[in-house]
Amino acid sequence: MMALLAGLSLLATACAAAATPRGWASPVVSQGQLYVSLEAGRLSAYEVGSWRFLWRFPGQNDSKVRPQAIYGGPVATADAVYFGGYDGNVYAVDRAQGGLRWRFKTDGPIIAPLALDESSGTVYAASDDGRVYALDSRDGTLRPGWPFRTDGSIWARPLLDGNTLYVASMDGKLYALDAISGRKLWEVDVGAGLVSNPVLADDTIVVGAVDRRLYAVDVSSRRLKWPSPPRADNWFWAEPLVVGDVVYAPNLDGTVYALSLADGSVLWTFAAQNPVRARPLLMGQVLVVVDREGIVYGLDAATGSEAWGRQDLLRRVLADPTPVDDQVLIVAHDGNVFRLDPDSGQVQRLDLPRP
Amino acid sequence: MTDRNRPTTVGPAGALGRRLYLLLLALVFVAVFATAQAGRDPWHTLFVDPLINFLVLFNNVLLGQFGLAIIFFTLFMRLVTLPLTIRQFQSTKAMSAIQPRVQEIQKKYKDPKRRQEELMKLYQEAGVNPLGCLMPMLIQFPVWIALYRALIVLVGGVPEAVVDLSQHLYPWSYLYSAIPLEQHFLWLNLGRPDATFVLPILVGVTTYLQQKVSTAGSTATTPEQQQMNQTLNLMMPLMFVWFTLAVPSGLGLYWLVSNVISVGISYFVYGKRGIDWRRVLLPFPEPAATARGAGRPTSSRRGDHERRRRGKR
Repeated sequence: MMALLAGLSLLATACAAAATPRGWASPVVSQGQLYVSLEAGRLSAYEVGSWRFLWRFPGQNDSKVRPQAIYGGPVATADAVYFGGYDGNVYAVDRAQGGLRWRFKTDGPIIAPLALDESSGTVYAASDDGRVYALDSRDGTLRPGWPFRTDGSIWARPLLDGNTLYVASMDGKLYALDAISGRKLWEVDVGAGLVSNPVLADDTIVVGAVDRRLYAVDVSSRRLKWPSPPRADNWFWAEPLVVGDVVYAPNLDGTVYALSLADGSVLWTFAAQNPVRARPLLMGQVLVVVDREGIVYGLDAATGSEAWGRQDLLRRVLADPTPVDDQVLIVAHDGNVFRLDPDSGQVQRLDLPRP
Repeated sequence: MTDRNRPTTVGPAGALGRRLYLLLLALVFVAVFATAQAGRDPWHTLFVDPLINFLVLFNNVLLGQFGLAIIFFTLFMRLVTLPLTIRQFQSTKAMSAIQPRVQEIQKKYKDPKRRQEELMKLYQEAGVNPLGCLMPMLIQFPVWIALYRALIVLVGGVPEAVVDLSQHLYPWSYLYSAIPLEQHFLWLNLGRPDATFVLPILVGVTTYLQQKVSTAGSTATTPEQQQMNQTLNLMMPLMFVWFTLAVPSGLGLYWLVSNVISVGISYFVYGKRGIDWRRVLLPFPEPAATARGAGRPTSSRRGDHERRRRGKR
């Protein structure tokens, strides 16, 4: 009987906690439409302002299409919306109707957001299989010379700047690739898995790593820019925000760092109550930060002091907040959507109609 | 009864063993109190987090093969808790050794009170604690739960689980280099259930063997107990098959390895002749085999009820 009880307890413990992918795609606004993932593996479109429901992908009739979960916010053109699914597919969806245009299968889940080059009509997708794929945005065919292979998973968005594509990999390297041919131009070995989306500002790429450091790579000299990269108590997973010569970098230790882009020195820090994975957002002079447990902070961007009282959404938040007009949309992990007024700190729940 | 003929003394009967248990318990209490005072979650800080970090360490030592890390870590943990496991099995074995006399007493004394007195006398005389197998199991219980929690955090596989993992890893760069953990091992994706059914079937078969072999030394004394054992012997493997189909394969791999080790320990404790392999492999024992040592066939429920009724008179 003891064995039975033990077995049952252990199994109950195991099953209660078995993780399933839910996704943390940040909502995206493009040409008057909002694209948001409110349920695991589904992308919905709404008209901004009236919040009229437009479509949902996959629809009721797409029983064979199962993205499982969407981690990277979609990218949109005038006629199509693209996103990567946890099932390893890159999906192209008709912007007007939400129907499937094409899909392309990679060999691993896609966690990184996609990058889009509208001028060449190329969608760049980084996969957990360690490869970066360049796809023709019209039909999803793989461009010649691609994919480019790294030695680790890729969870960070490829960063496109002109003809150069920067790729931060979990193998600890930042790669610079020719965006057309897929040829490697150079690489910088940081030595620790690069997990955050890289950001380019003033010829410097800022990227977070799992060795608890935030790195700045000088693109011209192809060397680390900061002599002593700032070290926190946990990983820099949130995408840093660079405004002027200040880097705002939240950390999973619950601290928001404001650093000098020039030398990485700490300007101020703010201690949130919980780890922060979502990218901060600057609205006027207020830096909006949302921690993992859904507490929203409004910080004075210059000093780090709180501009208004904390708001508790009482829900887990891992997705990046998105500006819509003069407000901020926050999508909780359970699919609830909130609207924040960054001036007053007032939060309202936004009831988006669902089919 | 001479000392030589006595069954193995088991359980925390020895004064030293009891003191060690108490000391360990006191240390755990002090550590839990101190951790709680420091504002940290004692369960994770003292039990789950060390196991998570140990597992990641194993992963790195074994060249990033997380499947191998689970196998070796299971071996390691079973090695650490081996004295307790052996004690538990020895207790079962010792209880089995006195079963003929237990059944004699049960036959001889119809009055429950007298029967109980005689049984207690027998246990004292034989130096056997009937609850001796419980204490080692109770001590291992938190370790199992913590190990499960650690495995779940690590084999979750999905990005949300990796965010959670970041809160459990110690600040040692050697450990970070494992992130993200390699989820593929043999045909398995350790973060997902095995869709090929191979692992669930293996877990089911080994759970069945483990159940049967670990109770090889024990004998059901009543038809009810026998029936319960039979039900458990079938229910537990089926339950584990079902759960293996639902949980990440990494957990199934742990169950598989743990079961195989348990069968090995049983073989070591009971010896080659101590395990009746025919009985192990049969889902339902032959009627004559149920009261091994007692020399009487299984009685029907009705017959048993009749005997109880007569005993009351």
